[in-house]
Amino acid sequence: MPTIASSSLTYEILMYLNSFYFGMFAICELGMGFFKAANLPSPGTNTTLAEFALLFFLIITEGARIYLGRKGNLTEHGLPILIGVILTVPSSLATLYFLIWQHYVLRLEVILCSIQLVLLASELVISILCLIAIYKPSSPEE
Amino acid sequence: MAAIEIFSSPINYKYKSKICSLNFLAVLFFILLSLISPLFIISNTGGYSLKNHVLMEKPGVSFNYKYLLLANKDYNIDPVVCSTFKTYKDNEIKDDCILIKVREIDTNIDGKKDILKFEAHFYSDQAIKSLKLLLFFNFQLKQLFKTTVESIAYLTHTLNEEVQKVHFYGDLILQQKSLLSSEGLYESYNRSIEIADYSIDELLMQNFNRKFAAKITNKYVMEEAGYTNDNVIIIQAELAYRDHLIYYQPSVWEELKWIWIQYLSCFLVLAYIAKHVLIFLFSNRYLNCYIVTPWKNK
Amino acid sequence: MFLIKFIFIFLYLISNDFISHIKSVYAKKVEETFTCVNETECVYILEETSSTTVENIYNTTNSIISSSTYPTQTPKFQLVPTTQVPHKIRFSNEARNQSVYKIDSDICECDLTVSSCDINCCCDKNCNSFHLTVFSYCESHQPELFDKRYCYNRNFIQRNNTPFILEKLANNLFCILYDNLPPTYDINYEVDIKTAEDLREVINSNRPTWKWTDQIYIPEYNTSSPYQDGDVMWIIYNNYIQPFEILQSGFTALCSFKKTLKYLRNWKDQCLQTELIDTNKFLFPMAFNNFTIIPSPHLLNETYILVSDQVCPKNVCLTLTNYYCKNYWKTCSNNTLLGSCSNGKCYNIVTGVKYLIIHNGSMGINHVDVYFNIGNVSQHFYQQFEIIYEWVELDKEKSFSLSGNPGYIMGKPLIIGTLKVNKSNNIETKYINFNRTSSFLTLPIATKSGECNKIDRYTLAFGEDIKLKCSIFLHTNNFGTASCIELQNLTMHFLMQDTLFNVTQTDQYNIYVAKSGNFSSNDSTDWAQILLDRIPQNVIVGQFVNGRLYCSGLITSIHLNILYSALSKPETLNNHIIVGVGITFSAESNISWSKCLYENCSDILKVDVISYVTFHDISKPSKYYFAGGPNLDITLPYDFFYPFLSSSTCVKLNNFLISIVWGMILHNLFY
Repeated sequence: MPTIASSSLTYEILMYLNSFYFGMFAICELGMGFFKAANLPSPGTNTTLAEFALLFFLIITEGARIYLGRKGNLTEHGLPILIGVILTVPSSLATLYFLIWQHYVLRLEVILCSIQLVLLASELVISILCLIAIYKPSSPEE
Repeated sequence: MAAIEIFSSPINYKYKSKICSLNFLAVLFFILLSLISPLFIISNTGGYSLKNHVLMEKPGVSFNYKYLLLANKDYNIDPVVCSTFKTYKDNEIKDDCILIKVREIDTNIDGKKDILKFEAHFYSDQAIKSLKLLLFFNFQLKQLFKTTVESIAYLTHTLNEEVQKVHFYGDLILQQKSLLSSEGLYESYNRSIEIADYSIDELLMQNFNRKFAAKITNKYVMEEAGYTNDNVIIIQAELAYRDHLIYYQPSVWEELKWIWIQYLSCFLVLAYIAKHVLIFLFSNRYLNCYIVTPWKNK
Repeated sequence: MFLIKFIFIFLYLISNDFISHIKSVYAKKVEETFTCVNETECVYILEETSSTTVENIYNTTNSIISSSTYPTQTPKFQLVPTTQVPHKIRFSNEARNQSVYKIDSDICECDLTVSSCDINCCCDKNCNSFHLTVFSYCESHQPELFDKRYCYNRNFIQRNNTPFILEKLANNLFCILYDNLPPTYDINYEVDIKTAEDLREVINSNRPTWKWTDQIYIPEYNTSSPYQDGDVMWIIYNNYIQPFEILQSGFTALCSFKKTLKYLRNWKDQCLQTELIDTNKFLFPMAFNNFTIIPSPHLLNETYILVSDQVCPKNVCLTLTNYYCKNYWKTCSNNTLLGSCSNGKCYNIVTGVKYLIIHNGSMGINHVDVYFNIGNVSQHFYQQFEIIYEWVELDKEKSFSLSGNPGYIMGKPLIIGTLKVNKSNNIETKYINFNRTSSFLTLPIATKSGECNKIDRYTLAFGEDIKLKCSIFLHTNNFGTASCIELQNLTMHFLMQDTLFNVTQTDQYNIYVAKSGNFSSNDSTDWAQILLDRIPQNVIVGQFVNGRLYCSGLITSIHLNILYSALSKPETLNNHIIVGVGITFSAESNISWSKCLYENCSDILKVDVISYVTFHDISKPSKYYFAGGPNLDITLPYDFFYPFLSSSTCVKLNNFLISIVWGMILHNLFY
């Protein structure tokens, strides 16, 4: 057992925050999806369904990312964090989709997605730092 | 590992007593109190039922292309009469107008017409002194009940100077005389009004006596003073179709929708209080009972 | 340096050449524009010579055609040395209004004149930057349709050429900031209309629109059938068959409309006659009686055609019996009076016409009387018209119009009768005598001057609360108690019509009101006595005090109270019966007049006679109650339930049931 913990507190705090934020984000997105489906002229059933599916996909990837990231960080295993870093890509792409490419972009979505993207970016940076810390060659005393 | 409280459930004591006992009467009293007193509270604060309700609806108004314009000159001269009607009192109506313009405009492109512009041109060898304009409209109501009402909008104006041009502006509303019941059938007004059947005062009285009648409010009149008999006299009317407030008596189900929540909101509070009073009375032994504790029966 | 100079000269040459070239282009262009008829062609040409050329052309032509002080210079020609056009004065290319600048768009709504610059139309392709300098503003495009769901007007995101920096439409979190939808187009379904059939199909039939003016229904003479109720009546005038027409009022009171008489339809109207000249034929009786009436159409059909000399026999064509009356139909004679008009005054003209048509149902008309009211007129007047139909077998002695059957109808007169006592063989029989001439309850009404009308009285109608006021004038030279008594008697004469004569007690008053409109019996139980609160006493004193004349104890007004109630049967709720009638006299009052100022003048004693009438509805709101059902007394033998329960177990069972119910309620509510 290494005496100096290489797990990052910042990463943990960010991830913890993100887990709650993402819960809120997902609920809001879901609500806005329903709002759009109900109130705005539909661009087509398929596209509406595709957007919902993408949201579902985002929930899965993001959930997995947060779970793995936290687990990896706490247990100081590199692999889960690595998977988390990889999962950042589809997650951020999906968020970007909601920010830019989806059919109707509401103002609230812009705000929420931007915050989510900032969180993702900062977590990416810190997780890489964390990975470096974990895979750093152990000190010569050990 | 520290234990945390994750869930809690109260213990249910059972208080047992005979029917003919003070305890039973006390419990009965509290139950009845909590059941009945909401009724008193509600009925003393305005009653349960909604007396009436308002619904705002924009009726589909359309001009019927029927009009009657009477421009009176002196009393000993026949008035200028313009109409799409052909006979009045079994006599032929001589249409004096040379031009009638009708335009219904949908300003906000919602499929319902918003403004009617009506214009009549006629020549007169003498200045006109008063104007009467009857415009016939169809009102189509859809939300609460589906009906079409034909009604007359009546504009009247006495001119105190010789004029060449008169502008009328006004809001066309549907005047409602009394509360409607939401399931009423108002098809009786859906018939074409013909002027040949009645005299004008009968026609207007009939229109007046209806439950729904068109009315022009907020009337502005602009007169252009100055008159020559060589030029055409122009009467312009611009009517804005306005939203209509329907006052109606809510149906039974709509009443129930409001009643049950009123009752429940009072009842829950009172039931909670009554329950805690009873718990207090029983647990402090003000009322003596057999207490069945759940762990003894195991 | 040399090189630069060379380039400069070269440029100059080129541009000179270019200018001459453009000049020809311009000339050509003008020609083409004038000759072009098709609008699209013109546009094409304009586009061909667009921007680069058109703007330049102006400059060159200007410099060539005139050396005027046109402040023209396009930025394109800054390159051209100014020495070449020395007279040119530079103009400030900057428009005063910054918002005026050329707009390029495919659709230009304000461009409404071909090959001419529309003022303030910045997208007009005919306008160059010189034209633009005169514009005060750019005519805005068709106002964008605002979609409230978007945060901003979409136009702003594409290009900001609005006077506002941005147009916020909605300010909430749920507005659409932008969308990624493909551009939407309205589905403009174009219908191909080739036949008239297609056209009719496409036209929305629900929308109200202009209607064809209907042909006026002109009644046609139908020879086959006899007259029926509502049929047009026919006359023969100048050997032509015409409908029977008289005057009526039109949109105004003026006698401008014709009234076609309908068989068996009573009618009464008046209209204003304003032309008091001899040529107005309706002022003279000839217009109303100089024809014969066809008593029945089928009679004429059979006989008139057979008669060869076209003279209608008397039994087929009825001539009218004329009566010329004066003073409102009062004095009538057969002698015609020659009427004439001059200078706006007419003498002996018709002020009213009354046709009394005696008919025998489908057998047609038997007889027609026409009554003319003849009078002298000096101003506009109302001409009265009345058509009355009567059955030929009508017995005028017996016929009487009721005020409702069985009760009274609102608005009908009250029927009165007099109690008569017949003493024969010592048997006193009381009955109500109904007088046909004074059959209705009447009250005094004022004439034009305010005096009580001595001839006509107002007939009280059932259900209307009224107040009537008229004045009585008494001229006296010798004022005293006698004149006050005379005044009182005159008042009572107007109010009570001498019915108080010889009445000393209130129960002696013998005027009765019929309780129901259909008074069949003269039995006094069907009649309600008019109850007086007291008998006016003649305790009147006339005094002359301080130069004023005093009458004390005068009764000048009455209050008539009529109690009625609705008939009990629901099917005749519109009928009412009179329950009781009472007259209350006003309190004795003292009235004073000033004495007349001159000697030997007569004093005028003026009293206002006021009568009030109040109807009181004393009917209770009708309630429905249902007769109770038949009583069924079924008794079981006392030991019927013996095998099942005894009395003690029954009580226990009840207790048990109650406890279960309460237990359930308790459990559900509190645990």
